Amino acid sequence: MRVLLKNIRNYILRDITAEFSQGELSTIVGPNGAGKTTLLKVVAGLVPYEGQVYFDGKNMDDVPPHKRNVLYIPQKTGLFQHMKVRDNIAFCLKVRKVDEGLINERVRWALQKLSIVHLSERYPSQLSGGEAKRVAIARALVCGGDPLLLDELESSLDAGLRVSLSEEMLRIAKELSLTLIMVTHDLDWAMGRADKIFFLWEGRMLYSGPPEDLDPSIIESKALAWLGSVLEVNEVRINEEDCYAVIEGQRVPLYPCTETRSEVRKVYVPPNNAWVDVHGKIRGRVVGKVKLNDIERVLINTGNGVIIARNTYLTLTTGENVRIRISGAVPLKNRPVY
Amino acid sequence: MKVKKIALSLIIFFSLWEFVGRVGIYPQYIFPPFSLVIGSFVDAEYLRAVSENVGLTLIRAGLGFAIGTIVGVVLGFVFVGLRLVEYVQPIATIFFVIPAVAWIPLLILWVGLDPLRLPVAAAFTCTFPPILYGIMSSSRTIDRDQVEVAFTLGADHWTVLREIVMPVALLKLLPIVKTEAIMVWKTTIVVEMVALSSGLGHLLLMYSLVIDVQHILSTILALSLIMVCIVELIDYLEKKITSKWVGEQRW
Repeated sequence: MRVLLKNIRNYILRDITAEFSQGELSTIVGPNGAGKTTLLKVVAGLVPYEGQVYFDGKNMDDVPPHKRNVLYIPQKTGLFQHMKVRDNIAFCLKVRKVDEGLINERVRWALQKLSIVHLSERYPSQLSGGEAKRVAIARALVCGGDPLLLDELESSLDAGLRVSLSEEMLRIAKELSLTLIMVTHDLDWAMGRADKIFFLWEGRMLYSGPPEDLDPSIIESKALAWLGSVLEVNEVRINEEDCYAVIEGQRVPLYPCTETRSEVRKVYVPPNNAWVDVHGKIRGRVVGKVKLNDIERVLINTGNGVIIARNTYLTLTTGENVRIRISGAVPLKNRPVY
Repeated sequence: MKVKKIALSLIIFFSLWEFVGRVGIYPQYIFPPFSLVIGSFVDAEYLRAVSENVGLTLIRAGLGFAIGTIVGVVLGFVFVGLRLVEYVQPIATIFFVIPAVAWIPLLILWVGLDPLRLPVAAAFTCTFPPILYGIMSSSRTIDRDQVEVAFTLGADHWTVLREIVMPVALLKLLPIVKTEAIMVWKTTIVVEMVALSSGLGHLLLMYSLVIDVQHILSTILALSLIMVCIVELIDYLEKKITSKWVGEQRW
């Protein structure tokens, strides 16, 4: 399903226009209070807004949330505490008065799909964080709607589990041809895996598009300092022994390391992975400075793009030449250029 | 362990009572020892008086409590369903904070000294406002995520009210129900003391008129024992119903 938002405005959002395409992973990123969850709720019809929402060209503004047929999974799962897992999953089928036999069949399918058959007789308070997320996903999938709206799937999960669950979610969404719109704080994962990112800052959409096309010149410095930078690489080596990119002579470790990324041309450098270092190999010129969370961030123009680096001990002025070091970067998808 | 601690505290309390009653600080007709008070329960005449009145008090309190709870719950959900809470809650708050006994003089005027209608009306005024207030308050504090998810899963306003809001609001109401059961019991006793000629409250008054402290204390013991049993019963039901799904969400 193609979801189109046109000129959306409300108590947080300021004139947002965005398009989410079928079969793509769209991630909404931004700091707390930027309006990420509110944007998801606009799609679901759960908050008031001005502007237009279209699903496959059909205007949804007058369609109430219970008739929009979206699959929404909030950050804290919203599992019904007084219902067993099985009843939670069957909820949407029961309210639609689906035949009992079909309900059992669909619930069994969802339980198996998310590998939670053994949890079916438990109550939500008896589940771990990861199990609860799986139940919430199963409950949404069983309804057969589209798009799938996920709000911070990774919250309250440890690092390993959050990546594996996100990957599993991505696989299921692709398999079911769902339009997946995810709000996430996991910038590394979002930049590395998303087809499109939607960067929200104080209710405004500062960037929407493929991560590798991120243009720093259109984003204000403070927001860029929060988001991080995208750099071109001079050379990439990803094989069983090595996994690094070369940026102006510095070998930068890549993560995650997968064979499919062997044609990487750009990498994402998270905001805390680059810092000003007089012994660093990458050279550049200071083009701007900004303070974020009491730490000075310096925008440095290198031959490979503009990078955001932390500066904790030098007094720098605009135009000054500096050296930087990068501790790690995320390889970005390599799309064909038409 | 818990039972042992309770038993120990009771033994210490009753032993102290027995000791103070026996050493003669006060005459025994003013402060009888515990053994004398508990001895009342083997006195056939006293037992007959208590058994004749305990049923009356229980019926009056129970009936008023049941009507107040049912009307409070039903009206509460109607107001929530019709989105009238913001209009009704200020009025409910005013009635909620008025002590039930303050209504007794008015109720005497309105329903008369009827041995059933007066205490039932008093029990109703004691129960209805807090239950109504509790339903409306707890409905407003329900986890927003659950309500929103229910909408996106295809439930309309009334289905969300029935399937999500009601069970959670009723669960949150249980502690209020327990407190109100105790309040109704106390109010009924007061009504019986000041306006009726039957019931445990009236019995207490009769014993106080003849300065029969032994039977006053044994009746008070009976009153508290009955209330403890009722509270324990509500506790048991609460645990039975909600043992698995109550509790803070851990994630």
